[in-house]
Amino acid sequence: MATREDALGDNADVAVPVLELHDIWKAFGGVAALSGANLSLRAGEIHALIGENGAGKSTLINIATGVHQPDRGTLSINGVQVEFPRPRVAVEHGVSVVHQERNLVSKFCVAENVCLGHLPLVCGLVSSRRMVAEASPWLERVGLDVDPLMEAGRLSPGQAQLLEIAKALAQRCRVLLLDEPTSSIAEGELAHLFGMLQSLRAAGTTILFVSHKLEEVYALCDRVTVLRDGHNVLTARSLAELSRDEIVHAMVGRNVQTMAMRQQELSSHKEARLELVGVSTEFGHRDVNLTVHVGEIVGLYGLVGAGRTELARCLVGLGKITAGQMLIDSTPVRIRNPYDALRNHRIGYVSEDRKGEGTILAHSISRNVGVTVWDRVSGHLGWTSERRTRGSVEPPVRRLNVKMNSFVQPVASLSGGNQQKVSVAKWLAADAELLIFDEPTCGIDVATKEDMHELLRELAGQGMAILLISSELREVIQLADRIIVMGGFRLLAETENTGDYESMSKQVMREITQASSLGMMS
Amino acid sequence: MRRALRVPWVPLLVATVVAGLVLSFSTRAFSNTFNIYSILQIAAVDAVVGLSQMVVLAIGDMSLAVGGMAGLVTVVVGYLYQVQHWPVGLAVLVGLVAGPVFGLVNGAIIARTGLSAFIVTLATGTAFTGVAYGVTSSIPYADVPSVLVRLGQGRAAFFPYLLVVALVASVLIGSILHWMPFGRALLAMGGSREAAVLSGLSRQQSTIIAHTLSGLLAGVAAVMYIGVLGTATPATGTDWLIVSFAVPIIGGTALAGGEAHAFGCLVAGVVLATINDALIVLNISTYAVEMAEGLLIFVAVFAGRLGQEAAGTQRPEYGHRGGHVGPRSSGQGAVAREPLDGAQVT
Repeated sequence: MATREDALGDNADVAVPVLELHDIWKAFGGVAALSGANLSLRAGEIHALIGENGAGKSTLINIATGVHQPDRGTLSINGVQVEFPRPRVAVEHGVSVVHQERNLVSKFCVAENVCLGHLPLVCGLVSSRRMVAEASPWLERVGLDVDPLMEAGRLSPGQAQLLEIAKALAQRCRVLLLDEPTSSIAEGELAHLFGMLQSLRAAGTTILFVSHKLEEVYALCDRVTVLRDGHNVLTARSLAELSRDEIVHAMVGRNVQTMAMRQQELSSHKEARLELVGVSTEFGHRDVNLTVHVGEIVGLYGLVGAGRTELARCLVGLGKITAGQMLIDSTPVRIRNPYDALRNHRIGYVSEDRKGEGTILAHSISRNVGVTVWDRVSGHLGWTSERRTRGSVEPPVRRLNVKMNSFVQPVASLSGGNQQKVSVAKWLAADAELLIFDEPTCGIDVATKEDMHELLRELAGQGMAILLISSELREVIQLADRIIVMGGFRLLAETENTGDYESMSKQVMREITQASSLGMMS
Repeated sequence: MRRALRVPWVPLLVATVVAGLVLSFSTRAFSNTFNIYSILQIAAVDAVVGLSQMVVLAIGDMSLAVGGMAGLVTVVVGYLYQVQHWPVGLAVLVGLVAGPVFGLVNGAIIARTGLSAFIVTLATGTAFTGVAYGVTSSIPYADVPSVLVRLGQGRAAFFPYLLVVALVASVLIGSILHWMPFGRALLAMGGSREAAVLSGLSRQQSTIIAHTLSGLLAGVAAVMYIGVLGTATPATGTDWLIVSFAVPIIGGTALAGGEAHAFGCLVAGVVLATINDALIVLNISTYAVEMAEGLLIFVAVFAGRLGQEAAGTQRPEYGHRGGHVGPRSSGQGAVAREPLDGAQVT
């Protein structure tokens, strides 16, 4: 696998880049995703793009493929400036992307998926024979040895990935962007994928390889660009001259001052509110052991796809626990659904999908918060009313300092941060004693983010047990008492948080990169 | 052979034939030529009504305007023939042009405004019906071209001429969806909108094509029905809504789009008509007929799902226990699943 062609690393500045993104800026709703990011790809190289979650990798890819438009900055192909107003235009310029999520028509056969958008015709009719003939060389090229007439939905994830690459090649792509291509495929398929990518490189295709598995990056790539907080930390550096530590350093940053730590006010007798003992789930978690004590914030950190959200969903009964035990206040429980979780065990789940799952946007604040208490406060015959719920709704809303005009104002009219507060308030109204926060500050502004952090600390101070899922390492280190690192649906490490960003972040990143090199994450 | 079994309407066809044989042994009234003819005559109209819905289902939309369009086409044909004394051929031709025009209106509104097809066709369908009643003051045109009646009621032994129309329509539509580039685009759009759009197919174009085809088929069904009834009534199509969904779904077409079986509509039409007839022949209350049809929809849908699971095409969808319908963009899928409009930060 390790046939890195170092020769390509020399003469860096001579060749005109095949694809160049220069000084790209992009903000979403006031939150900066990219601030002056650069990417420069040379013909026939495999270029790694790495960075923590939230560093801006996906945004950069979306801009390179015409899904998003940059607020500022330029794109050029072979030195000629271009614009990609639509994904189709990027494809026409030879830039194709293969996402983690499969973009295939699963009911169509393999060959038709390859030819989709440019079906071969005989007398104006789609000819499946010509389709197969046209698709076969591309399927062969990526080494996908299946019946071209087989339904695409029946392929394994790894095969589906190869099919997408074949599709991109059939569109005559010169630059292939692979977004976390190894996150969902099996070990055996990995070697095949790498071999195939190397032969593509030999044939002159430029490949951008987005990954956070350093092992893979070193095995496959020629040069590397590292993003952090929306801008470049390392730009197109030859991997031959970089050590693993230098890259980890670049990813997490070294000049971060130690942040204010949460006061450790935990009493000596810590009762466990939630315990997981050897838990396996239908999503594929294996042997998960985890404890959250009263008044404690446990940070669950991991990269996207590590299985954190899925674990959280199992805790509130949205997924099946297939083995092991879950204990609440030292009593074994089986949670059937979120209703059961809240009513009988006082567990609340603050979803990361604020708009979709956390709140009902078109409904008023009081209805959104009151939804958890309706059956408790309802009167005879089960009637409930604004008046009846107000008593339970008002305290948490006031306590969270939701900025609003009235209780009957629709949640949609609030800012993102205040929407998030409403989705938290409903669990407070229901007297939850264990709260699972899934990416609580994703996509909200800095000031509200501080508010949320303050709130989490305060809740913990009052005895709430909190499981904090976050992809932002800084946030986890700022808030958590203990940090648990998850990868590939297993717990990789558990450590007391010292609050020192530099040492903690390095330790955590090391756990993750180490685990991937041991093949645990595939 | 295994391929044939995976086509959803094959087991249905077998079951219907068996049931027909059983019925013909149990009661003499069932197996006489006239009874078979009347079953197939109804089936032919139902099949075309179903096809009209099916082409819209193919792209993952729904049309509530099938009946409304048919009603208005009926009135157009009746008016031109009886009031304006146009020649039969021309009146029917204009009717058959009017159908796709109505469909085009639906498609264009949906494609332009981005409103859901359900809402747009609910509105236009109701309006079409209203216009049909308004123009005629609810009075049917009794003077109907005899050639249409001969077509609608004619038969060779047990074989109604109308069945030829239905056969041709389902073969044509099936071929379009299978071999024509724009037909494949309809199914691609229904199967995975993202994949189709990213492959350079136009969503607007597919929407317009599907609804225009739907209008054409609704018009064909309307002309067939004029012949069956012997009058051109504005009430045509007002009770077609349920049938228009039941036929394609029983025939194996996916409600969510991406899969369509034109010949399945024909089989499902026969199944529905047979059940209807059998229960009447066996002297069972007509209320039971509707109940049986309802049950059949259930059975057909569950059978279809079992078939899919057996074929292994249905992979467990993330978060499916949460009671979501369809995939949810939570967790890892958030960015990639909505690449076209989601403003996602990495």
